[in-house]
Amino acid sequence: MRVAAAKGKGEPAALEAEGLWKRFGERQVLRGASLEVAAGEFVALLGPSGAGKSTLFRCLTRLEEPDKGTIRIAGHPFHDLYGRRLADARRSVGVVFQQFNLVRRLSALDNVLAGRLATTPFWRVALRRFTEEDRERAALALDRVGLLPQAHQRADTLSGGQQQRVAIARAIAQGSRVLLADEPVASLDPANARRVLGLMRELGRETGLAVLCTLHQPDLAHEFGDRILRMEGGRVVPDRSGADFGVAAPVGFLGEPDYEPGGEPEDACEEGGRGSGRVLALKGARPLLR
Amino acid sequence: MSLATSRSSLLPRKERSLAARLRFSGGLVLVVLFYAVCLHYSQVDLSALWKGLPRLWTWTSRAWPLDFSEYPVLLQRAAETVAMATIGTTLGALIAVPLCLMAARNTSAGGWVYYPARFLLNLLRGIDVFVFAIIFVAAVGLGPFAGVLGVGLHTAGSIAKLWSEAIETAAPGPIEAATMSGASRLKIVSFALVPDVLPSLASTILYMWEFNVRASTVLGIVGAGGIGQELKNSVDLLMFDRVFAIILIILAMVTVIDQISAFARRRLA
Repeated sequence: MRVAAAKGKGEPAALEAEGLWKRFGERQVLRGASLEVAAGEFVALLGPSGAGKSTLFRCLTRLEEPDKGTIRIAGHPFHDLYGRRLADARRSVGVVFQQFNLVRRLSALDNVLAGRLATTPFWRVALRRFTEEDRERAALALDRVGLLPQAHQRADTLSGGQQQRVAIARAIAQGSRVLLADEPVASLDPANARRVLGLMRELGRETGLAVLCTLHQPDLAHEFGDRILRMEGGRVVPDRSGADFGVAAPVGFLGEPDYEPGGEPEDACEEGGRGSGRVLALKGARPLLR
Repeated sequence: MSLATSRSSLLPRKERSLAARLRFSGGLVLVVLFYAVCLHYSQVDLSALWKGLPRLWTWTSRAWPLDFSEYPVLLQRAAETVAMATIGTTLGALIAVPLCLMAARNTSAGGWVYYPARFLLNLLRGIDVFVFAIIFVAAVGLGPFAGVLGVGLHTAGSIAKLWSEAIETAAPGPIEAATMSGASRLKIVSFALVPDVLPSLASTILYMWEFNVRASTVLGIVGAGGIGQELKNSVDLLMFDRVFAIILIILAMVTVIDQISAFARRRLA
C-alpha cells in the first residue's frame, strides 16, 4: 500500500521541485535540479560531499533562495511565498540537520515543543509555558521516538542519535507532511544511524510523511530508501549504483541495472557485502556511468 | 645528487621584494617617531619623580595609624558607590536590550536599523563614565544620581556592543531549525537564541557591574557621589591617615565585588 502511495496517480506529490538553479559567486552548484517525493515515500539522495546535496536541501527549505525554479508542497507553490505566508507554509516541512541544531540548553521536551511555536502566543514562548495540549502532543512524539524518559534532560546531554530522534519528534509534533533530512546520520555510529533512518522510514509508512534524506553512504541508501536519487553535476538523477553495488559490479552493470525501487532492498545489497560495495560505488560509479 | 647537497633546505626561498623591505623600515621609523612625540608631550621627568619620592615617603610614614574614626560615613559612601554602580549597570542593561538586537547583524531588521544602532552604541561607549558624570552633575546636581546616569549611559553602549557580538557568534543552526517551525522572528529569537546566549549575556552584566564599581570609586571627584568624594576631600586637606584608610576600604570593596562576580560567572559557564 505504501509503495502504491508512492506511485499514486492524480494527487500531487508531497514535495515537488523543478528546475532549481543556485549559484554561489563563480560556482554554479545547482543546474536545474528536479525531484519528487510522494507521501509515505522514503527517498534517499546520494552524492559525495560538495555535490550540492546540502545546497539543494537549503533551497528546498528556502533557508537559501534558489535563483530559479519551482517548489511545491502538496501541490501548493512554496517557492514564491514570503513573510507570513512562507512561515505558514514551512509548518508542513520538518527538518533534521547533520549537526542536530537543537537548542542545546533547553530540554528534549522544549525542543520538541519548538514544533508548536507558530501557534503559541509570544508570551508563552518567552516564558516557555506551553499549553497542556501541546505538551501532551510533544510527549506523544517523544514517546514515538523512544525518548519519553529523557523528556526533561537537556538537549546537549543527549547522545547524537538521541538528539536526531528529538529532531524527528519535533517534526512529528509540528505535524509536518514532508521531512527533509540533510545528512542526518553522518555524525552517528552505524547502529544509531540505522535506528534513526529506520524511524524516519517507519513514520513515512505509518503517517504518510514524505521523507527526503541526503546520505553519502550508498549501503544505507539501499537499505532504507524506497527510491534512490543521486546528485550529479548540479542535477538530480536516478541512482544506478545498485548495479555496481557489489563485487561483480561491472558485469551486473553491463546487463542493465535491475534495482527495484520500493522493493525489499536487503537482497540487493546484502549479496555483494557492504564493505566492498561502498568503495566500489564511490569510486567506480561516475566513470562507469559516463 | 641528493636534494640535501643541492639546496640547504627543502623549503623554497622566501622572496622579499624591495618594496616590502621599504614598507617594513618605513613602518618602523613611524613607530619610533610616534614614541618620541609621545614622550615629549607626556613630559616624562625622572628628576621630578626623584625629588618627589621623599615627600611621598613622609606622607606614607605620617599616615600611621590609619584614621578609621569616621568609618560610618566612609562605609556609607562605599555603599553609595556600589549602589550607584549597581543601579547604573541595570539601567545600562535595560537600554542595551533593544539596542543589541538592532546592532547585531543576524537579528537586525536591516541596514537602516543596523548602522544607526551601531553609531549610537559606539557614541555611548566612546564617552567615558567620567565625562558623562561631569555633564549630569551639571544637569541634575551633585550626588550619586548623576553618577547613576553616567554609568548607565556608558554601560549601555558597552553592554550592547558585547551582547551584539555574542548574538552574532551564536550558532545559526538552532535558529534555522526554529525558522522551519513557521514561527515569527521574535518568537524564534526568544526561543532558539536567548537560551543559547543567556549565560554569556548574564556574564557580561556581571563583568560590567564589577568594572563599574571600580570606575565609580572616582566619580565623587567630579561631585557625582560615592567614596571618591571622601577621597578627594581628604587629599585636599592632606589628611593622609584618612586617605590611606579610604584606599584600603576601596581595595576591600573592589576585591569582594570581584570575587562575587567571578564566582557568579563561574557558575554561569
